[in-house]
Amino acid sequence: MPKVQVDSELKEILPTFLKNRNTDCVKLSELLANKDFESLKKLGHKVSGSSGGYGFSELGDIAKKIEISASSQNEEEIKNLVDQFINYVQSVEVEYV
Amino acid sequence: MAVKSKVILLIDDDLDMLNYLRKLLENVGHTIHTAQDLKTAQHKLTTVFPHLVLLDINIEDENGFTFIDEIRKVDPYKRIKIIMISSLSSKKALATSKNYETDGYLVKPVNNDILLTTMKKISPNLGFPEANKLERNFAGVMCKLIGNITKISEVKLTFRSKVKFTEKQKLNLNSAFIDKLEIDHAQFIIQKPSIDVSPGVYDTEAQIIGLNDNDLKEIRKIKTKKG
Amino acid sequence: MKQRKILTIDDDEDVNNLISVILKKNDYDYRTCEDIKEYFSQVVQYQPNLCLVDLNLGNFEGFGFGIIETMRKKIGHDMIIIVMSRRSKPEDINRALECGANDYIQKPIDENILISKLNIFLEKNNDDISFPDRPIPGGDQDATFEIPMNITSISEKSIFLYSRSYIAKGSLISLHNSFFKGFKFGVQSVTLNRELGGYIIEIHVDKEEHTELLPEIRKMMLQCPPVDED
Repeated sequence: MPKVQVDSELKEILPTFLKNRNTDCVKLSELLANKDFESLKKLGHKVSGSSGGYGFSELGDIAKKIEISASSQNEEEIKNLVDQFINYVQSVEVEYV
Repeated sequence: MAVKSKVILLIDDDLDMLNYLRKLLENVGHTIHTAQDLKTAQHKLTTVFPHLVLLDINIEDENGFTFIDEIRKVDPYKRIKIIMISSLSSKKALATSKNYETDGYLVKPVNNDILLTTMKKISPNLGFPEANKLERNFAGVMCKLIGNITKISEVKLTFRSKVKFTEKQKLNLNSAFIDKLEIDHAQFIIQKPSIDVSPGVYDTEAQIIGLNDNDLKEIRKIKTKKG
Repeated sequence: MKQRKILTIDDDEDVNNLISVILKKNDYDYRTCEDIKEYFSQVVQYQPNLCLVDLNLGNFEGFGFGIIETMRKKIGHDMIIIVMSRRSKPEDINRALECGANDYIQKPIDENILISKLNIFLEKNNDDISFPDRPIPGGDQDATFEIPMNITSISEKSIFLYSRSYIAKGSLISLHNSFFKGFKFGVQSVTLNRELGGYIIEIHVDKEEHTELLPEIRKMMLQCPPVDED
C-alpha cells in the first residue's frame, strides 16, 4: 500500500488531483490499446510535472518512465508501467501533515 | 611629463642621408622610422602614423610629391606635418612645393644647424588634436574588471568589487567557481543598487536566473555558515 | 507598496491549483487560466505584474517558446514572465530566456524557489522564505565581469570614457574591442556627469605599456573631424 504524506495546506485541492489521476488511468489504458505513443509520451510528461508538487513523487517517477518508454515505443514496458500507475492511484493512502 | 618626443618618418633613397637624419633626430629624443622607397614609405605611414614626415621629393624620379597625396588619404585634416627635402633648389621644385602646402623645405646638403632650427620651429606644432567624435565601432568598448564572489544561494549571489552599480542590468560575469558548479549557462541580473562597504569597495547582489534542479543541487552542496 | 498580481497559464488544472495555494499562502493576488485566448484577455483585464507560463502549452512541442515571443510582442517588455517546464537542459532554458522570458522554474514547482523568485522580481523583501547564503571559499572567489562603456575622447596621453556605473579611482580595468584588444589601464579619475547621467572615467596612456596602441590612437585622431569647423 503506497502511502503519501501530503501537506494539509493542499487539503482543498487534493480531491481534484486524485480525480484527475483516475481519469488519467482510463486515458492511459485507452492510449495503450490504440498504440498512441505520442499521446502516451505527452501524458507521462504532464503528470511527471505536476505530481511532485503534491507530494506524489513516486507517481511522478512512474509517469516519467512512461514518457521515456513511450518515446522508444516499448509496448511491453509501457503496459508494465501503466499497470503500476493504475495500481498506485487506486491503492494510495493519503495522510495529511 | 611632456610628450616632447615625436614620431618621425624619414623618406629618402639615400641611405647616408637617412642615417644622418636619424642620428640627429634621435639625439633630440624623437622616435624615427625610415623608408628608402615609396612602397615602404606607404607601409610605414599606415602602420606608424607619424607626427612628421621628412620627404625627399627626388625619390623615384622626382615622384616624392605623389606621396603627399597618400599622406592626405589617411590624414584628411592635414595634421601630419611635412617637410620636403630636395637636392635641387630649382624653381620648379620650390613652386611645386608651394602648390602642395607643406610645412617646410630643406635643401641638400642639409647641415645640423639648419635641421635643428627647422625642427625647433616646427616642434611646438607637432601633435594631433584630441579626438572627440569617434566612430561608433571604436567608441563602444567593454571594460573588464575583477571582483570576488563572496556568497551564493539558489536565487542570488553577492560579489565585491570597485564598481558601484545603480541601475538594473544584465551582468556578464565569469569565474572558475561558476564553471566548476556548471552553472555558466545561467544569467545574472542586477536588481538593486550596490552597497557601500568602504570607500571604493562595493557589494553587489545579482539574481541568478535560468537554473534547473541539477544546478540547484550543486549549489546546495556548498556548506552554509551553520552547516 | 508595489502590487503583486500573478497570472498563471497552464493547461494542467492541478498545476494551477497548486500554484494558487502557494500564492494565496504568501499573500499574492492571483488568477489562473488554461488557454491562450483567456490568458490574453486576462492580461488586459487583470493587469498582472508577473506571469507564470507553462512552456508546454498546446499540442506542439516547443509551442511554449512561440507563445513567449507572441506575448512579448503583444504585451511588451515590462511584464515579468517566468516560464515553467519539466525540461531542464541549458539549451531549452536559454532558448526560453532568448524568446523573452525573464526566468525559468523547473517542474515540479518548489514553493520556496517560486516565492523567492517572485519576491526578488517584485521587490518584496521577505526574509522568512529566503535561501541561506553560502559563503564561497577565499580561493574560489575570483571573478571577472564586464560593463559597457563609450570612449568620449582620446589623445596620446589620456582617454576619457563614459560609464553608467561608478568605478572607483585606482581600479584596474582592461578594455576590449577591435581596437583595444585587452590593454590594461588604471582609473586615474572619476567625474560625475549629470547631463549624461553617468560618470566620465579618465585613464592614461603609457608609452611603454601601451606602445602598440599609440599608432592606432594616432590613426583615430587623424580621422576625427575638427570640432569647430563648419
